[in-house]
Amino acid sequence: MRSLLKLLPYMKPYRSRYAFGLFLVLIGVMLAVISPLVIKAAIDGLQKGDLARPIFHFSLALLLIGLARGVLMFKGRFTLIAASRSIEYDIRSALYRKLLSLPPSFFDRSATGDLESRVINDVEGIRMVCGIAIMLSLSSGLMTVLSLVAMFSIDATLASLSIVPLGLISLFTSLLTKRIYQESEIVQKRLAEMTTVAQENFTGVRVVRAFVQEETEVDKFRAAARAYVNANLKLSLTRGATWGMMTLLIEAGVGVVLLVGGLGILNGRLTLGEFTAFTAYQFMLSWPVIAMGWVITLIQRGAACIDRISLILEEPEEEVLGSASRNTPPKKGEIVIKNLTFRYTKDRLPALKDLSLTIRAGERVAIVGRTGAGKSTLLQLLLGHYRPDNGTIFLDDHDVNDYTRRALREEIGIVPQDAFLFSDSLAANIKFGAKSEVSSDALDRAVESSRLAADLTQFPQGLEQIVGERGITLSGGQKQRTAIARAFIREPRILLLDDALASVDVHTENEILERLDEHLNGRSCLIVTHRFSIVSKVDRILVLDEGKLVEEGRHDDLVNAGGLYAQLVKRQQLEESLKLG
Amino acid sequence: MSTIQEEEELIEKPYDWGLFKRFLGYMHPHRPVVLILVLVMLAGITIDLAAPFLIRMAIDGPVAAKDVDGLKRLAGFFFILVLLSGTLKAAQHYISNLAGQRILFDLRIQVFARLQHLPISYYDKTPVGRLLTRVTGDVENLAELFTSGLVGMLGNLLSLVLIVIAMIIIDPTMTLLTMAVMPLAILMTIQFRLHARKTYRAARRSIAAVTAYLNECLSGIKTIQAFNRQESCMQRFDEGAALYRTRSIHAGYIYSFFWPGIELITTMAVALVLWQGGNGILAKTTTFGSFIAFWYLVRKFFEPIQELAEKYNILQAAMASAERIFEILDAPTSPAPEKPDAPPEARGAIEFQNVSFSYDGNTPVLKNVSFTVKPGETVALVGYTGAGKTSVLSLLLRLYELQEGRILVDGVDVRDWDPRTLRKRFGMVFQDVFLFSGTVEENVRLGRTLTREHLDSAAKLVNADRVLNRLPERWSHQLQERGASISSGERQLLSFARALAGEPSVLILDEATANIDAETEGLIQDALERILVERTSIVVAHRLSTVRKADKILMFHKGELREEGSHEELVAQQGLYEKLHRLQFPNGKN
Repeated sequence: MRSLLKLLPYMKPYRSRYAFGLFLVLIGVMLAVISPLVIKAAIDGLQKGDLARPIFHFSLALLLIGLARGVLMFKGRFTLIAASRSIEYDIRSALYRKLLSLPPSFFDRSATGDLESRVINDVEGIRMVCGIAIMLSLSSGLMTVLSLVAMFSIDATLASLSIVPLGLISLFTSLLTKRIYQESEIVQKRLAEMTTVAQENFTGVRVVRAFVQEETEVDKFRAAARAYVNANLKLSLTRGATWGMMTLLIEAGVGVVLLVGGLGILNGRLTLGEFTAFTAYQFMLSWPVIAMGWVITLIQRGAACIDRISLILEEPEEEVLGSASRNTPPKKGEIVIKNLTFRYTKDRLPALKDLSLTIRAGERVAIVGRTGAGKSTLLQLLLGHYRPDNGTIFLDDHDVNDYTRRALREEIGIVPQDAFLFSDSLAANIKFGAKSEVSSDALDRAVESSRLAADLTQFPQGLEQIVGERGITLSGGQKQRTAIARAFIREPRILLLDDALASVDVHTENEILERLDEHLNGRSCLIVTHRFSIVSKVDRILVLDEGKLVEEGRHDDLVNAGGLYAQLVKRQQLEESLKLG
Repeated sequence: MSTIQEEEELIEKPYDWGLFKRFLGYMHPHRPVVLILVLVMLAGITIDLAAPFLIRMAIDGPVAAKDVDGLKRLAGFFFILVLLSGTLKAAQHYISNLAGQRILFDLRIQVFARLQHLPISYYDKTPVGRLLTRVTGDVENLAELFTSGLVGMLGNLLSLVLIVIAMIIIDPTMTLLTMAVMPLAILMTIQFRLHARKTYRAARRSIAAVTAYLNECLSGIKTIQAFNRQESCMQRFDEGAALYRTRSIHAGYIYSFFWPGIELITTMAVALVLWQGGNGILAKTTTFGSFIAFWYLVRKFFEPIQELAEKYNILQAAMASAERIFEILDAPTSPAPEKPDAPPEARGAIEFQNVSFSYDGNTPVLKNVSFTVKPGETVALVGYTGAGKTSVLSLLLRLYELQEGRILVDGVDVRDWDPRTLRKRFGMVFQDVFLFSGTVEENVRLGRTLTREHLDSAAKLVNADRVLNRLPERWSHQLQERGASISSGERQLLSFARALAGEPSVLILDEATANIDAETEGLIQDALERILVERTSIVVAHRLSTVRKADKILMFHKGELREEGSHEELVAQQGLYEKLHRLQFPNGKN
């Protein structure tokens, strides 16, 4: 329950709305408690034959109270609901904001579906606590107290006798709630088991078919489905018993009033009007008793949601990790790496081992090596996505970790291996890379240089074409070229191409590389590649293997050296000729 | 940045009498339970309505006549009814679930069984998650249609009718007055339903859009961070979330209106009843008992009306689910021959005659492929990624229908085989070994009637006994989901045992490319040497040792069979195979 306290800061901005809404709801509850008294007065008057006013006035009073109550309840409920929706928005926004500032290592260890559920479902669970749960617990609490006061003031004996069944309801519900909870857990477990059988069947459909397992699988599923049905039926037996017990006890309360109240009228202790009002109060009391069970479930669930969300909100942010202070972006683009060692997690082999190298400002360098050599990792570290375990990366003489993430990335443009596009227009996806608002000239230039321009005729809406989820409507090459345009339009000091042209044909690749010059204009450029067709366009080649720099130099020298580079080149030629068939 | 896109998803569907009737068909086998349910419900509602009558009798009779014994008798009778009423409520809840669960069970098994016979191509185009929803959520929705929808609505209608009858019996004039406000209640309910649905759907659309955008951002988080685009993303997210807030507040407005509104209408009816009843008492045409009983009934009268409105939405959700489920039940199953030929003697002869195949009907995967495999031969399929090797295996098992040419197994066209008889001739090892959660034994046995000795000898043959020896419970070892508790090499050994336990006349092996530790690799090679002899084997080969030992190598390239011969012959040819060989085994090793 301590988790609920964490909500207070979020509720605070809306405290006047809460006060107002709750005030209205509570007045509404009071009015509800008053109306049986009108009926009581009418009946007593009718019975004694000394009705002070025409019966019409009583009806009118009833109607007016009802009307006032209606208006108050509506306004009150709505105020509270709106407040809870606003809090929902605030928390969801805060959570999203937080997520955007967390380091990649956080996302490496969290499932996307899970995070989504936090932002969508858990925040909704919290909203239920802030809205309906608060409203119901206060209003039904007040209703209980006021009805009891009214009942006891009419006839204490009758009141004490008639609330016995209601007390029993609370007792039974609290007992049965636990059992229902346990049985629901079993139902959930059986459901999960059944789902697993089905999921494995669908995933392993080829094995099922190849080994003619269709019937065995249906039998397996039938057994799981039957276990699920049985668990459900057991639960519904308990639920049915609870339900029946509640009905029984509520009606038994009416029976007590009928007997004891009837006897009270007989010996003159009670008037008929009081008797009638009493039944009305009893009716009112049964409702909070039922509602309370629901409210408790809501609050328990909400508390769990708060705990899960707090875990995210308490995660250390990217920026804080670096405790960086340097606000000015690197302006030259010189990279010096000294004894760099890095592993993604402690239990894995180092991706980079004691790596040292220098890239001069304005230099164009290709990085090659086998899969897993650490090429992409190096770029990730340059971008400050991860922090090295040992050693330092200097950018313009300053440790990368001394820059704020913002300043560091301001002057870096990356084209990742797997270009990520948003389901938005091509233009928006390209402008995504720009540091500030850009002119349509700059946009056109980027589109032209990335050789995307030629493809535009394919799209009816040109640059305004929506690319679909993750760019699904584009070819692999088009996606990569969009990502290249995105990096070009940024005009960064340092351009990183992470095997960014793999899906682009060799001819287009050359065209793009030729246009690099216009965009580079003295900027540094690191090209991670598996293709050796581009090597003539770089100043220097770095060969990485198992996280270490093993060779560097120009293409011809490296081929002549007959080392790893020469091997890789030979292998690729073989592969190319094989592909051509 | 443009605003978040919204998409309409099919979560509701208007009534479709055809679907509904079809669903009713599933109730048919459970008629007795359904009948008992209706009777129990009817009895429960009737007994509920006895309360106001008893109160009236008590007030007008014993209370007015000061008859203490009479009052006690009536109260006693009331308590008996209370007991009955509680029991009936419990019974109703249980029986309606019983009927619902039984119907749902039948339907669920039917859907699952149907899926077992849909062609693999259906699975290729339907994500597993969606299939799962069909057998879980959608079936569940239909059960809801039965318990809450049909049964609940029937109950509401019955109470409504019985309440009106009770009212008429007690006082026709007051009944008329109550009925006077009824149009108001109905009008309000309909209006509410229309608006609530519209606003609710609008809100759902906007939260769905927020979820989609969130998903996108989480997937592209590195891109966002690398380009310092956090602010604009926040802005866009906030816009979407704010739209959801506005729309859900609007929906809240309508909900806030409904309940107090219905309560107000109830109060109007009570006020009218008080007016008319009070005058009636003054005029001695109405008794106190009738008046109080009526007051009780009026409050009950509006309950079923409110509930009916809620149930309408359940019905619509169920309609959409029903449509999706029936879609599966109506999907065409894999074709099977009308009268399959009697299976020929198992020899293990295979022949591909001018086979062409494409998964999507456009891009050819196999082009005019012909080859023969003689009984007892080991044939290795090799080729660069995407050459069509695995497709050859799939067609052989008839997991897909070929478009051109013929495939003969033991001299009979695969299309003339009962697919199940055909597949029993083969022992298949897939590239990506799939293990079910369950014991090792269940995974090797796979529902076949094989003795433990048989399993043991199969395991021994393929060195899988080494895996068993490592596991304390041996055959009874429980594998976690997708077999995560054992290494990928060990999984392969188990899948060898699985394939050979059935003593197939043809072994089909799609060699895995995954990294395997040296020790297990040794076990695998050793096992392969033993199992490939004297059994027709077709192997998609990645191991040098496998291709070297093959009687024949088929070199595929871009869907065509380009070279054919033994390892030595093909190397000497200096063609594609020789290049592939150099590429895959640069140092003459695996």
